[in-house]
Amino acid sequence: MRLKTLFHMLFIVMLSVPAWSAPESIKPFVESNCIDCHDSETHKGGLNLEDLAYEPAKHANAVTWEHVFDRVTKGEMPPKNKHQPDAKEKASWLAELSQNLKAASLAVQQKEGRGPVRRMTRTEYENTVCDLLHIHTDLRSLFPEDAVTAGFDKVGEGLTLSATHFARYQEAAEKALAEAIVHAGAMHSSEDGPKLFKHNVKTFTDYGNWLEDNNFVLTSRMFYPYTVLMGPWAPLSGRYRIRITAQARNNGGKPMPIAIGIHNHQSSKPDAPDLLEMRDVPEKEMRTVTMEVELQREEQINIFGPTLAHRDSVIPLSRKGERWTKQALVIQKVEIEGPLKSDGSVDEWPTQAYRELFDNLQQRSLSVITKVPAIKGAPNPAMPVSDRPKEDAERLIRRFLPKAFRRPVSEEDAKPYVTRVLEALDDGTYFHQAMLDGYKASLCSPHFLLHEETPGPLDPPALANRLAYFLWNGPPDEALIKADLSQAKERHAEVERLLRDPKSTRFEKAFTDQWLDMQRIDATSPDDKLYPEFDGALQLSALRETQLFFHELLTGNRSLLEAVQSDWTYLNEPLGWLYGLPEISGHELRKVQLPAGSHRGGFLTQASILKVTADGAKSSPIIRGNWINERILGIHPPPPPSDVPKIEPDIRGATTIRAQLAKHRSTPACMACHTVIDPPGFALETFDVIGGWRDFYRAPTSTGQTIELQPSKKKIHRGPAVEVGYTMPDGRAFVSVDEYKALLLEDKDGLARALTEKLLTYATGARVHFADRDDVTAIVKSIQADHYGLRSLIHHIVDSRPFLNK
Amino acid sequence: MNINLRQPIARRHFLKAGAVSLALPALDAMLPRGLRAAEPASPKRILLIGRNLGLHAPFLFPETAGLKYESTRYLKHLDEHRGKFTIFSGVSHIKYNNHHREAGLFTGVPWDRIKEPAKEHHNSISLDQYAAERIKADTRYRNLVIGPPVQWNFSWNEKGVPVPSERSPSKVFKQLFINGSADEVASETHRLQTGRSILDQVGDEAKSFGKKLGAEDRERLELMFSSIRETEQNLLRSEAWVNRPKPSVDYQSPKADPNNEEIVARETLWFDITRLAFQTDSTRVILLTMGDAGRAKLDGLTLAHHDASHHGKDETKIEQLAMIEETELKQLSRFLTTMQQAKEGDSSLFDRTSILNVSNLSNASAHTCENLPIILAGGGYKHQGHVLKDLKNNTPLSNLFVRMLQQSGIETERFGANEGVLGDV
Repeated sequence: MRLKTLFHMLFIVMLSVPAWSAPESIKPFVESNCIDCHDSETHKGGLNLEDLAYEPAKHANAVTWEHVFDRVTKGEMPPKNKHQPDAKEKASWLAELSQNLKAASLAVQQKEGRGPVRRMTRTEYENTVCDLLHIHTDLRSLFPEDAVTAGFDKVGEGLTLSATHFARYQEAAEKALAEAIVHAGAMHSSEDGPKLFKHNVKTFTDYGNWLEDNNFVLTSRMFYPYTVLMGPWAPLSGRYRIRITAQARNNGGKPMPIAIGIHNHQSSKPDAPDLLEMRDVPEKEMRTVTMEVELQREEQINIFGPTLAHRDSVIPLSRKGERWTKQALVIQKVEIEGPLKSDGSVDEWPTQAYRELFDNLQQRSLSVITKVPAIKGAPNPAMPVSDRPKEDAERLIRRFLPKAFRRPVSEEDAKPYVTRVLEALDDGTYFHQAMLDGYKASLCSPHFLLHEETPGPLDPPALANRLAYFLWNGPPDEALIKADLSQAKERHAEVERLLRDPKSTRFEKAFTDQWLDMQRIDATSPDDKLYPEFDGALQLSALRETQLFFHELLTGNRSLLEAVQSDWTYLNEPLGWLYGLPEISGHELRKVQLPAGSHRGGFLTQASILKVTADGAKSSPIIRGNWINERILGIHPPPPPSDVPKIEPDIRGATTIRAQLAKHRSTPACMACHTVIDPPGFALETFDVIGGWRDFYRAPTSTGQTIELQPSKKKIHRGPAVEVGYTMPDGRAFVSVDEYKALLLEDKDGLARALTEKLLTYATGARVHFADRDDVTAIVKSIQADHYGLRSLIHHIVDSRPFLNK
Repeated sequence: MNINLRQPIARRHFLKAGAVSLALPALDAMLPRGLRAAEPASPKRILLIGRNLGLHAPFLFPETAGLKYESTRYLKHLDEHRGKFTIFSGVSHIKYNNHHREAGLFTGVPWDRIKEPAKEHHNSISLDQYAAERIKADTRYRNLVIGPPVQWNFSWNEKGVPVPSERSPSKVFKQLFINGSADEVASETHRLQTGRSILDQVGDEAKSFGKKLGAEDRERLELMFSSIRETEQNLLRSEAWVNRPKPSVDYQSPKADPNNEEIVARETLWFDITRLAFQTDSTRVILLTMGDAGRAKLDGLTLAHHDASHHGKDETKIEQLAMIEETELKQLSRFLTTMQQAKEGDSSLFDRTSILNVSNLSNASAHTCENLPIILAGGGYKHQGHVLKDLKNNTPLSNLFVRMLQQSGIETERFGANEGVLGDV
């Protein structure tokens, strides 16, 4: 028994011998500076260096050592209150560790590439199919949401495939192909007042539409349902141009917005159409405004005045010669045309889509093809027919494959598709069906669904592909495939061409949707009682401000430091009221020079960002702090330990968030992280959940005091005062958001580094690895001379080693 | 593809496709009834009802345990079923406190495998998918995932990929109960057969594609495309059923989907479809999501569901929340009644269906996930009224999941992060 115990103990002792066989250049430093707290017994913060092997070639192991490297580099470890290592010793240790980690990371990259083989995201898939077939149809919602890794859905590690995917790839291909061959005439509609009235009169006369002389008059914003002018149904999914000639009446001398929306019964506000676009029309004369919107087939546009008074009594029918004297939108003419091609012209039959698939082949109705009489009322669509089915089939399929696969297709890869179609024809399948099945098969192919890259430098098609999915979030066009991208000059010329193309808005949108969380702009609907001034127009304006701001940084090659602070932004009237700049009139966003003391400029203080970092009723400095740290500063605080009790928010007005948090953070263990997390959150505490400035919180019930809102003069209950100011992680104090921004701008390279890492991750679909750190440093260094211009940054990224290699 | 609505499929094509399907292993489902393994005498079914905004705890949980608990404001709506269901206190997924635990509600993975919103998550298979894989029954659908979608799915496959839910009740109704015309059936048959032959081709191409890649990528590719097999089996099942007439039900076929804000009409329809699907033995496992009710149309209700649930302790908001939640419980009660009325042999659907109504949040305002609102009904359990566990140190919800799997005839001791099995019922 005793002997057994002894053996047992011996066994344990043997196990606890340091398992890692680090080289002599690494081990002594760890033993004298780290092991006291990070041994197998104490393993503070879950880190046990005593038993940690030293194998940087293994991914998980390297990640831990990289973490150690980062904490020591930043001076966070050993902690300030512990013995500090000799500076020289530390520097040489870090250099050695860095070299080892980099060599290991680089070796993995050379062998396997920076990330695993990657499939298209569902957004990339939709853009690819739509570009290929020249259609505009929703496909992404057929797929499960893609997992987000390192901040982006593009990162390969998270992009798995399931049985659902394989089933949905077939369904999506069917949907897209069906859309591509719909035989419907393009729309060219032009209606004047009487015509508009005639088409709307049956349903909507009672709800506030008048016919005056030859003009259609919208008199009310809302009488259930929303008072609108309904446009015709879209014959095909696509982009439509809507031209409206209209004028404001009785709007206090100011221009009034006219908006286009689509009725969405599943939206959170079922009474209101989702706002897509708006333009201003003046009071003194008619103005013709043009808007372009994407419509799905059989969707119908709604034209309405989002700022018209809400009249909930029945508005009488107009009598001859009568004039509506109150506020109104007077519409003279509405013209709609589409779907539009990328050059802006109307896509007439045979559409680009049809010709892509079937060239100029004739069509016959299905009943003629099958010689089975059509059943009354059942669909009898027109389908392509061919006099030389086999020849046409082979020619068309062979033409299609390289476009779909985005690279030259070998005979071996093409053969199964040709054979499939020809055999189907031999079996007696009708030409159109055999072809559609063949196209469908090619849209389910790994060659189509995967980004084809092999370790090492990307081959020309792969490089064209990467550049296109970076700047268009979609497939390359012919010019890009033909370009010699191995030449830096031509590569930069293509970057410029791609960025000038309207398709680059897909990059701007996808990137800001994820980097700045704009995809969540409508995730919360602010509490009506606390924030009665919030509406759809304000939300759309806030989103547009951010999108236009990013667009301006990119097109104007403006400094990315303006992400933190700028003396300009894009505003309109609703944002002007929200930002305390009421002199702006009209709903169209325009570039505005910000006055001193506006607290605005830069992304941090934009309404959109203040909204996505709050939950509709309240904001939390922790959530906002985390958000700014991760997205703007490139700092990733660890998640909260799960055994810490949550703070239950209390909006009744008795305690402030700062008081609630103070208790929460009172232990040193919490404080270590919150010193980093909280400063940006407290800097933004003077902004409410919809992005307005606040000196006081708002309360849901009476506090005896009120705040009067502008311009509505509505009164809400005033809660406690907002406390301002806090300290940076390094102890520097700030009292306002302006001071906070100024402190951030002291580390220009840090900010540039953070954005570079985001863009590099997005562009390559892989995390930034240890081996990429020097590349990032080099990129940041080279944009210093270009005043940190965002467009320059894009150019330097496409020149970098991580971009040019798998 | 539904383009060829009226196209008779060439006979040679049928023969060819027939040859293909014979080459594949015959599934149980493809065999004529007489050759199949005998059906269990009393089929076991599982219904998971997932909600994502909690139930206001002070109005829900009774103080005392057992069948004779004093009713509460919320449980009053279920009083007529007392003895036929159990409400659990002190049960939850351990350490799940955070947003977006929707993803883990039915997978029950250890908390650190699902991280912050919009970041990496490493989920696993959810209870519905796990059970569906093992309850081998000759039904038209292996399982259904239906109901308005939630931000993070409730249903996940074994690779941790979300399985989306079918959000249109009229579409589900059509799939289950409306027979297509002869042409539509022919067209669907063609579609399924083409679908399988495309999958064959995709599998072959993935192999040759892999040859160009590095070793790790090749392995990854194999794993990614291994799901093809499952898709193929689903298509085979559909093919085996495509020519069998669908069950006819005595129910007004829904012409359109109720608007999201029509909370009563919407929940009634989903519950009725669920009951009919079980009654016609169209499937044995259903996950029904009942998400955010949006701006529900109820007299006196002015707040949207999400906003009311984030009440910040404000009493008027809590009252608004209660209006929505009481409506939900009344709907649940009605559903339990209809399940009891649906007789099946000497039993009822109710007694053969484990019905679990649960939310991933206990208090949406604080985003806490301890002491989840859990109601288990039907299924032939020894129902206990109120099972009161330790409110401080909760019992893993996965323990109940294991109990439910066992009740459904699936021999397992493990699911999610379970620590044993919950033996109270």
